[in-house]
Amino acid sequence: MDAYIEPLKALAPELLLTAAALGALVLDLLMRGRDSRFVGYFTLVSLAIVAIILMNRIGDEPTAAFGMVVVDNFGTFFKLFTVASLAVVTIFVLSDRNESHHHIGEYYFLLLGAAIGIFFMVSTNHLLLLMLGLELLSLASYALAGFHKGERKSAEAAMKYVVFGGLSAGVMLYGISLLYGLTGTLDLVEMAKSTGEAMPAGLAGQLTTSAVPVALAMVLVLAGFAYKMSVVPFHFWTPDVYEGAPTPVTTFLAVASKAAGVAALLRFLGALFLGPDVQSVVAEYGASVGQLLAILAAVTMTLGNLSAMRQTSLKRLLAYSSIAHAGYILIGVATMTGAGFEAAMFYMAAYYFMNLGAFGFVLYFEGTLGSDSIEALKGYGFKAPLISIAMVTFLVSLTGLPPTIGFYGKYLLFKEGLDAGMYWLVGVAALNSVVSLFYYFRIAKMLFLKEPASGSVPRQPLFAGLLAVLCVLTIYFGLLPDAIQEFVRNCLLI
Amino acid sequence: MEQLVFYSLGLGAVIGALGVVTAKNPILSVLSLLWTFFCLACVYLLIGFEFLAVAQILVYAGAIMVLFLFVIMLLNLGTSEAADFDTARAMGRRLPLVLLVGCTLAALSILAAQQVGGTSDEARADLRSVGSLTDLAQVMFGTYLLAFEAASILLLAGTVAVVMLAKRERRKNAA
Repeated sequence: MDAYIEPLKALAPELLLTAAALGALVLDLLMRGRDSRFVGYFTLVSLAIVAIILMNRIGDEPTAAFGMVVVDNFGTFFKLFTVASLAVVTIFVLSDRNESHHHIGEYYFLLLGAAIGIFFMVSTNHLLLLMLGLELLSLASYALAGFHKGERKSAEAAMKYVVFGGLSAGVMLYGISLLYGLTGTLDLVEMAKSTGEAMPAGLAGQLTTSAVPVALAMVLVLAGFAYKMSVVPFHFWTPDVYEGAPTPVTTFLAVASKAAGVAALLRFLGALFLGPDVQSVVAEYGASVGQLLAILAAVTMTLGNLSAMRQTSLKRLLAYSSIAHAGYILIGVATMTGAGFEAAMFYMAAYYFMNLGAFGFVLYFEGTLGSDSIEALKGYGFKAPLISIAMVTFLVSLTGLPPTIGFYGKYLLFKEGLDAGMYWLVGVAALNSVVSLFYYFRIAKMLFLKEPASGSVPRQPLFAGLLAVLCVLTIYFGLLPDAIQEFVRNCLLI
Repeated sequence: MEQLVFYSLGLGAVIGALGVVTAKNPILSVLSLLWTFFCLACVYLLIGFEFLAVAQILVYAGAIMVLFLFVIMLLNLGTSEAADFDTARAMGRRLPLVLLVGCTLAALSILAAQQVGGTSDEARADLRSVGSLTDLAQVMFGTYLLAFEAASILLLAGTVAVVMLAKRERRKNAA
């Protein structure tokens, strides 16, 4: 009995989130759908408790539970990331002017459900649990994307997301089944460690015979991660879903869901190719996977940035920008070194502040003007100066200019890329940053350089305060990145 | 002999799956799906998973299929509903692409299968021993207990999502 009770402690955050999700559902029933704000506050409180538990765990020795979950600092880092972004998304939902606040208890349930999925994804070396977590996250995201089911765009977004998600999950599952067939285990550490003397051949044994089956499996599995991170050629869903989904959901997809994809990819590659007991032939193979990722990174950032230039909708523009950022993050992953992974994690942290801020601005602007077209931004900076100045800060950070956290994140990524000898990739990334300057500053120009429009905008003090905090942190950590860097360094995988 | 049976079952499953997406009549679609499940159940039998085969027939072919049929009959979906979307023509236009992707994947899989370092007879025998109910229970509620529970959360989220999407809106959104 103790064998089942004891490991439950390690699962405390997951269990608490599950309880919170069920609680949100029941609470909404008890409120009879009158006003679901209370459910929102309940969600915030539960997230805060989970965050406290997670904070206390940083620095603990890694433990395992049920042979599937690994509780380590790396997982805790991304769990905290998820909880923190979910808290901001919940505040977004609460201050969304386009949302009727009746009968939206399921909104919070699905957000928490998606978070449980992410929790499983980021803390397992077991492909079965990884797949289940991924599916849980996807399933909740599909429903969230179509939450405004009366709207054509929202329904279309959900449908496209389901089709693309189903396809890439199927492809990934096929790859996983190949890996299982080759190695006879679903545990990544076991997979990398087996010498290949036993039957089935094992990864090392298979690689010495022929690399073709492993290559096929690897490409198929990577497709699943690419879809979650919206890396080319699995990015097609991104602009449509980001545009059609309710803006808080878009924020969730752009920040938490993408981070989950990055985390799962880092863990997959780290456990398979960079672990301590990895067979040398497997580790060597990791370098060629890195080459593939480098090519994907270059294509992804170029396509994302070039497409972003032509957009007229702010949400679509940010969607393409998020594709481009997936490309930048892949630079760190492609180096296949601990330092490169660290840079990718730091960039995720930077991404948190600047993207939450940018989407927060979209939400505010959409709520007051009822449109998300860039044209409608004309002169908005004079109507809502503070929030527009914050937006410009986020844009500067997204471009990667000092003195913001985006600059330092990009600097780290470029440095690791150069250290790993990928000069061409860093060159492409630098050119891309110049391209991105153009379209990010088109927004800034619209905000301030066009003649002022008349009229005033309603005030939302809580929301404006949140954006102000994000804005200040973007600059603060840009000037003094040590605190975050130290934190990331404590949470490394390798 | 075993190989022959396996390949004919596999072919049957693929033909059934094609039927699901191409059939104009939803009833035909469902029946094709039934056929696919049946072929898969036979494949399970062939590799010695008797319980899984029975469960497949009982749960999928039995319960779930009946539900599908019920829903289709209740909604009274005829061929006319789907007529404005000509599946066959839409498929025809994309046929080259579908064939290209499918053939590439198939060719790669065959190439990969040929190059696999090999599974010994012992490994096969080992596999065959895990077909019984006891083994399955051991695996499900022992080794993979956590995954089992995670799957139940997944199903719950799925249920809530479906209810959320399907229930009637009582009030229009303010926007």
